Amino acid sequence: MEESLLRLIGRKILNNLWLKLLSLLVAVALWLVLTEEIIKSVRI
Amino acid sequence: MFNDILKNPQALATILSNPKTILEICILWYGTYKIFLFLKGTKAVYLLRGLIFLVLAFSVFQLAGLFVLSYLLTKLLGIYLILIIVIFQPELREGLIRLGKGHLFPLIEPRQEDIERTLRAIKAAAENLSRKKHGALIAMKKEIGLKSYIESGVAINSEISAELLGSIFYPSGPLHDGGVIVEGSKVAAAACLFPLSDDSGLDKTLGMRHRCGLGLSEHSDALVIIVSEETGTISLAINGQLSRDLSPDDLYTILRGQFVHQR
Repeated sequence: MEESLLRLIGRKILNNLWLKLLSLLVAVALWLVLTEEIIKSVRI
Repeated sequence: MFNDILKNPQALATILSNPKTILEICILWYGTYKIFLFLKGTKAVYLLRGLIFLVLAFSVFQLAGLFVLSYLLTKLLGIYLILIIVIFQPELREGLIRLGKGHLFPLIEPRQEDIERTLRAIKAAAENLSRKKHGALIAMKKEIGLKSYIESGVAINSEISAELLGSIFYPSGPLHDGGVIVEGSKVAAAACLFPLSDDSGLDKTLGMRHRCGLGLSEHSDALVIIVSEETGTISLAINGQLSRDLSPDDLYTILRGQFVHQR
């Protein structure tokens, strides 16, 4: 039971892994860009 | 901020130590992932590749100090974004409609009974079609959208049943050529066009139906069930791999392993 649960979680993580990593990268970049824009607008 | 992080990597650790920041990034991550999954099933993915190429070229020009070229690309990028909105207006509209209906961000997982019912219907249909030697091509959607393939066929949008699949693939029927796409417990469309497999080393005895089934499994994470018209054998294509000569019980067991508790 535990093993199948672990396998299930593993499969969930590995499924579309490259898409998950790419979206994480995009999300972090987006957050940084947006934060910078907000800081700039506050300074002005 | 990018420069601050490049100069001082500890800045990133400071930023990430705030739980609110982590929450914001996680929400952005989930949203971006869902949008990418939606786009993967449409033609928009090619336009997205073009956009990534432009952004990469812009970064290279910036780093190399080629400011005139990077200025030109900035202008192109703006035009490109407007083009995306104009060209993909139907996809954007569909995305917003799905968002409103909760299909893009489903809060409720499909019920286990619905999955079981779908699998039983597919098993029964495969058994009947195999016995009668009626050729069939059935794709079961997993996570990646199959919208562009659904659009190539005839919309059905009906609850799945073995009888429905049997009548779709009846040899003299108008919808028997092409594939059926199953989404959840519904038959989304029939007579859909699937891409041919890119694998040049395929067994030469495989017909077009098998090549199309394999092709779709290479281009998406869909599971494709193929019933041969000549021999009546049942095959299953997953991630570009074909399992041939399956019994209806084998098919059910494999499909169950792929769908139950996994979605």
